[in-house]
Order: sequence, then structure tokens, then C-alpha cells
Amino acid sequence: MNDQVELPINVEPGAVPAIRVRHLWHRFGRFDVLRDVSFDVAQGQIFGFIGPNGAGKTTTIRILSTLLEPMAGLVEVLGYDVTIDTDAVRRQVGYMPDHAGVYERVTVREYLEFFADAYRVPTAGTTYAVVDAAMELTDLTRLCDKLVATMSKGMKQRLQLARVLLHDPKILILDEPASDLDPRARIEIRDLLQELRSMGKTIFLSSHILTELADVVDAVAILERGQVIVAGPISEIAQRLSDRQSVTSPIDPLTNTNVPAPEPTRTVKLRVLAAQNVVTQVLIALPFVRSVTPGAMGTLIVTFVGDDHAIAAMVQSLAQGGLSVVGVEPERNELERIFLEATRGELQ
Amino acid sequence: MNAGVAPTVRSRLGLLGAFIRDPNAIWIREMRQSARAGRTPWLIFAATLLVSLTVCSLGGIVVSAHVSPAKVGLALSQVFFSLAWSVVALVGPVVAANSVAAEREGRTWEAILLTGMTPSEIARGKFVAAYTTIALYIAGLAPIAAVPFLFGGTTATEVILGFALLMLLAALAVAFGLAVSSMVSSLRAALVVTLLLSVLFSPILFSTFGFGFAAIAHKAWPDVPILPVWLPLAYTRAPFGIAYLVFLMAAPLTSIAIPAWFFYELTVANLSGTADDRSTGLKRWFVVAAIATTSFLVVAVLLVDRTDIDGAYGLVATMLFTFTLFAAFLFADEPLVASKRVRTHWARRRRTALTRWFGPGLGRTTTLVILITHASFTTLAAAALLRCMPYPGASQKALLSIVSFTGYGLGFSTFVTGLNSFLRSRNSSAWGVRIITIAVSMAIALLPWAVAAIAGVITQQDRAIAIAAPSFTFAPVVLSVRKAYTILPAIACFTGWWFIGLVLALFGARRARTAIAEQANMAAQLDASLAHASPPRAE
Repeated sequence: MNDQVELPINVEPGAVPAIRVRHLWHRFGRFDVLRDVSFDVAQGQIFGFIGPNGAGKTTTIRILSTLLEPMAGLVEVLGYDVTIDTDAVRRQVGYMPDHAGVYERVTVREYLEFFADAYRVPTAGTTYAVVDAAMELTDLTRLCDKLVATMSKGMKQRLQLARVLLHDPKILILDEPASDLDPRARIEIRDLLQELRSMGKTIFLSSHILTELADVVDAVAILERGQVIVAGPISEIAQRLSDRQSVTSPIDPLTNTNVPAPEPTRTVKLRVLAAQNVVTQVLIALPFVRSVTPGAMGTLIVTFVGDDHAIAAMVQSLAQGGLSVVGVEPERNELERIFLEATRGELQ
Repeated sequence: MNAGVAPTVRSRLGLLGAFIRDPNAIWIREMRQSARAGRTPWLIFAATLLVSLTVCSLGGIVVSAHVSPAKVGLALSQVFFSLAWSVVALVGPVVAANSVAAEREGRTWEAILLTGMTPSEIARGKFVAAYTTIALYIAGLAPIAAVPFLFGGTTATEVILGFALLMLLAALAVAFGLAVSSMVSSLRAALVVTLLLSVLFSPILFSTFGFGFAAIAHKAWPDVPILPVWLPLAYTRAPFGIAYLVFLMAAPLTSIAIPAWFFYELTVANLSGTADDRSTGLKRWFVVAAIATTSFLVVAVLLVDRTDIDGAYGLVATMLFTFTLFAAFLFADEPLVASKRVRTHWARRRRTALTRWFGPGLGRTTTLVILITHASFTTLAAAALLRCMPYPGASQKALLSIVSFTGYGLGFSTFVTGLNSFLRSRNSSAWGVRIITIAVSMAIALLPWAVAAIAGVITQQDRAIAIAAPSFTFAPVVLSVRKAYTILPAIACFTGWWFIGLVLALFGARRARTAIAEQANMAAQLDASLAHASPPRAE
């Protein structure tokens, strides 16, 4: 068992988690794809499942959606064991695989009606109210008589999403839903996910695009080489990371003694309406600022020690010097920072 | 109205009503897709045109030879149904092969699985869709069947029976294509395999069941001509009786229904997950097929002339041996034990011990195959003994045939079943098991003959042939030589194979029991670790 696993802390005691994974192992041939994976996903969350290629994300997702039987461990979806209660799990889950195919020679409505029939969704005669509702939600109503073959990738992705909504699942498992999509389609999918969360759906989302995940997810699990190396709400993981950095002292291999730990630094991008050398002089005079370098499009990249209060102090100093600050943004978003630090092995 | 009949009729109408009111979703979707494909009508048109031109050309050639119109009509009818059979035999499997493999390759398969449709529902939908397509091809060819009526020589009943037969063969062809399609994940592989097998086996089956069986039918009923499409002619020309019922009704229906059922069960098993029950359907089929095959062979033995019993028994015993060997290979991918999912479902649905015995599990499957093999060979041997006993002149040769063929058939089938079980209990790959068993079987069949040939050349003695006794192909030699130096080694060898087979099966069963214990132990350990595991930890 992996003692270092960080389990999410956002599932209330006594509440049935949407997804519960304990000591999950899976092997392909002689290769352990998943090694003692454990995490929880609370109901109503958007949960990001991230990790490098080959980390075991898709294997975990296939197990969650009952397409693969785990070799060891316990995996429950709303309290149903995926190994035993396959049918019950399938009723609760809508799974959209990565690069899934669609039937090309049918119209959007026919495609959805087929799946509504396959899911045994109740219909009133030939009227498929649920199909209309799914098309409306995914903004496909105007395309209902269009052949699937003639649709763009983004529209096909919407169609897939409409398909997994037909049986009104409580949990949506989406594997790379925004891959291969253009920026507009990505934004539309992201907005759709937020709308689905507002409807009470739990969304388990696997993606490589961290900037987009950061905008929507409540909690994440980072998987590397088949192991969960960190899991939980983003803010708490970030806090844990900085706490660890501040208390951990590396050991000098020559003297075998603790050496002072390097200062945990952060970086912020500032855009100020003034000459860069003037701004640099003001900032470098602050005790917590370590360096100021010019960035792209007239920005300055400031490396500093401290938290958000330090950023506020920088802005205040510039304002007191009569310099107008028009933009402040972190050089990397929080999720990217967590991912980079976690997958560097700092938590292992 | 008969009170006992009414509910049956109602239930039949109910089934039909359910089919119309709630048609299989896959069937409807595939028909919609086919309607938009555009190529189906063109293919039907091309096939119809080709068959029409061939039939008319042949008609012209035959007429120019000044043959009587009745003979021309009969010849054209035979040519038409032979061509139609070729179309069904080639197009049917290919159309069906397209179905599941295309879903897998197009990455739409998982979406269907997750809808909760059962593998049997999916298989039925795919079957009906492919069958509808092939039925359209047959319907497209129907007008050409009217051409022979211009000449006479064939009746409307015979043509209708010919089409009924075509529809039955189409069901078999589609079931075969679907089974192949369910085994492979690539559309190209599915098409190549089905086309290759169809091209290879179609002429063999056409010759065997056409000309071959027509000759036998002609011997039994001289009015039936030796023509390839003889069955529709036999229905109208053979006198009605027990032989008519057995050989013209029961036998054709069984010989189409049993393979079609097998292909269906194979498809359902291949569409099911590895943790699902993939065994029960195939085991049920095996038991029924074994009973049907044995019954048919017993009837054949009982009807054969007493003077021919030795040769006839060799033939029927070889047929039974082929069937039991096939069963041994069929169950080579049996799991060691039933999965947790299957065992839980059994417990929840309170399945009886008999139902569970027909479920997955290496030990119980090996036992079933060995029991059925023994029962089949024993029944066949008993029937043959019953047939030849009142005829003392033939009894010695017949007895030798019965002992030799039963011994080798039973002994080697048991050996192969035991070897499969033993290897399966130590190897996770079913195909690995099959390949090793085939290699061992081939070696046992051929190597003793090679050694015997070398020994014969060196010693220059007839007795050297006894070295080939371990080979199961030695059975006919026992019958032809009829000397102690062939009989005794043969008895020793087939008894040896039988005994080794049983020992290997026992080892396999013991390994399976160990696996069950290990699985239970692992489950207990996991339960214990979950019980003691702390809940998700807060910082």
C-alpha cells in the first residue's frame, strides 16, 4: 500500500461519494499500469484527473465505466461495486471516451433516438422528449436533421455529450473531452460542463489542458506511473505544497547534514504604464522581491518570496510612486504549478 | 376453442407484437444507415443482372442442343439455385462480418455496450440487420427463378422450397459471419477471414451436401435425380414415411439449426466481458449438439446393412471423434473459476447447483466434456453391438472395429480434454493452450508412423507397424491387419491415452481448486484491509 497517498478531504463523513477507489491495481502482461490507486470524488463536483501520457488515466476511467475489470481493489460508483453491479453502475454513469466514433450515415436526431432506445429511455409513442431536451442542452436542436458525417469535430463532440446525457446519469466520465477541438469549441464545452455541474451532475474529467481544467475543476488527482501522487481540492494541495517546501531541508551529501532550504519563490507578471527601468527600481527595492526581468509585450516578470500579500504590497508601492498598474497575473496558473511540482517527484 | 392452444397462440402473437412495437434498436439504426449507403441497390442490381445473364445464356446453349423443354427447365432451375447459393454463401458472411468489427474499428462499440443492452440483444440486432440485407439480395434474385417456368420441368412448390432452403442457408451464413466478426477487432481481418473461409468451404459443402448427398438420396429414393440442388426435388418426389421424416425434415433442420445456434452462442460469448458468464450458452449447445449428433449416428448405425457394420462404424465413430475433439478445443479458453461477478449473480438469483455446474469453471467444464464424450461413445458402441450381434459371420470383424474405433476415439478425446485442462490451469492464454494441444496432437498422429516406417525399413518385418500404435490414426490398421501384434499394442495405447487424459484432467482440476482458494484468500485480505483502512484523511 502506498502510505504517501494524499486522499481528498472534501467528502463529508457519512456521505456516499460519487466515486470511491481503494487500493486499485491493474496489470497488462507484466506491467503494473495502476498501483494501489485510492481517491474519492464527492457528489456534484467537477473532478480533474490529470497525469502524463501512460500514467494510467484511461485504464482507471475504463474501470470506472465498467469496461475493464480491476485485478484488485475496490471501485464503487454511488455505492455500487463496478465489478459486481455492472448494470447499476452503467445506469448511473455517462462515459464519453477519448476519440470516440459516431455513426456517420444517420441524422443527429436518429443518432440520439437510437441511443435513447438502446438505453430504454421511456418515450411517449414516437416522441422522444429526452432527445429534444438533450439537443437543446447541447445546442444541437438547429442541426437535428443534419447528417452526422457532415458535422465538425466540435459538433460531434457535442453530439457525444448529448448521447451520454440521454439516460440522465448522475455521473459523467469524460476522457479528454476538449482534445482536437478549436478554441471556440473548447470554450463552449467548458461552459457546458459548468452548466451540467449547476444541474447537479458529478463530472469526472480527464484532460491534458491544465489551463482549461483550472477554470472548472473543484478538485484534482494527479496520476504518475500508475500511482496517485496527490489528490484533493486545488487550494488545499497548493497550501500543502508550500508548507512542505518551507519545512523540508535538503541533506548535503558530502557532510550528511541539513543545508538551508532554498527559498520557495513565486513569479508574477506585471503590466505597468511606465518605463521598465523606473518600475524595476521601485520593485527591486522591496525586501521580498528577488528579481525583475522584462517579459513579452511590455510586461515585467517579478520573482518574489511570500504570498498574495506580497503582490498587494508591490502594487501599493508602485501606486505610491505614481505608477499605474494595469495588469497582474500569475506567470503560471495554480494547477500548472501543482502539476509541475508534483510530477517532479517533490511529493514522493 | 381449445383452451390449451389459445394461450400459446396469444403468446406467439404477443412475441410478434413485441417485435413490431419494440423492434431491436440496432436493427432499425443499421437499416437507416444501409438505406443511405446507396451501394446496396446497385449490388442487388448487379447480382441480379449477372445471374439473369448466366441463366439465360445457359438456357440458350441447352436449347440449341435440342433437349426437351422439361429438361431445359430443370437444368435452368438447378443453375439458378446453384448461383443463388453461391451468392448467399459469399455475400451473407461478408455482410455480417461487417457488423461488429466495424463497430469496434469505428470506436462506437463501447457506447453500445454501456447502454445496458445485453450481448444477446446486440447479437440478435446485428443478426436481423445482416439477415434483412441478405434477404433483400434473395428477393432481388426471385424474378429470375421464373425463367425456368417458360420451359417446364420444375414445379412452383419446388421453387418455393428452393427459396425456403436459401433463406435457411442465409441464416447460417449470416450467423457464421457474425461469429467471425465478433472475434476480431479489425474490419479488414473480419472480411478477409470470412471471405477466405467462404471461398474455401463453399465448394466443399456444395459438393458434399449437393452431389454427395444427392447420390445417397437417389439410392434411397430412385425418383430423386442426382442433381446438386436435390432437397427441394426430394420433398416432392420421395414417398412419405419415417425415412422422409428423419432424413428430409429432421436431419436438414438439425444440421442447419445446430451450427447456427453454435455461431449465435459463440457470438454472444465473444461480445460478453471476460468477467461475465461466457460458458453457459456454449455448454448448453454442446450437450444438445452431442445428443443430436449421437442420435443421428446411432440411427445411421441401426439402419446400415449388418455386413457393412465394420466400415460404417469406423465412419460414424470418426465423425463423433471429430465432434468431441472440436468440443475439447472449444472450451480451451474456460476460466479457472467463475468470476466474482458471476458468483454474486448466482447467489442473488439463487441459482441451482445444476445451473452453476453449467457455468464457467475449468474443473466442471472438463468433467462435462469427459462425461459427454464417454456417454456418446458408449451409446454409439452399444448401438453398433446391438446391430451386429445377431450376425455371427461379421461379429469378429465388427467387434474389432467397435473396440478399435471406440477405444482410440474415447482415449484420445479424453487425452486432449485432459491436456487442455492441464495446460489451461498453468497458462493464461487460451490460444497458447490450443496451439500447444494441436502441436502435441499432430506429433502423436504423425511421429509414430515415421518411426514405424524407419523401423520397418531396418527390420524388414511387418510387426514394425505396431510402433505406430500410439497414433490415433492406427484404428483402421487394427481392422485391416487383425493380428495380435496390432491389437494388443492398440489396446495398450488407447488405454494409456485415456488414463493420461484423466490424470491430466485431475491435475487441472486441482490447480483450479487452488486458484479458487487463492481468490477467496485475496478477497478476504482486501476486505480486512478495507475494514481497517482509515477513512479519507484530513490535514
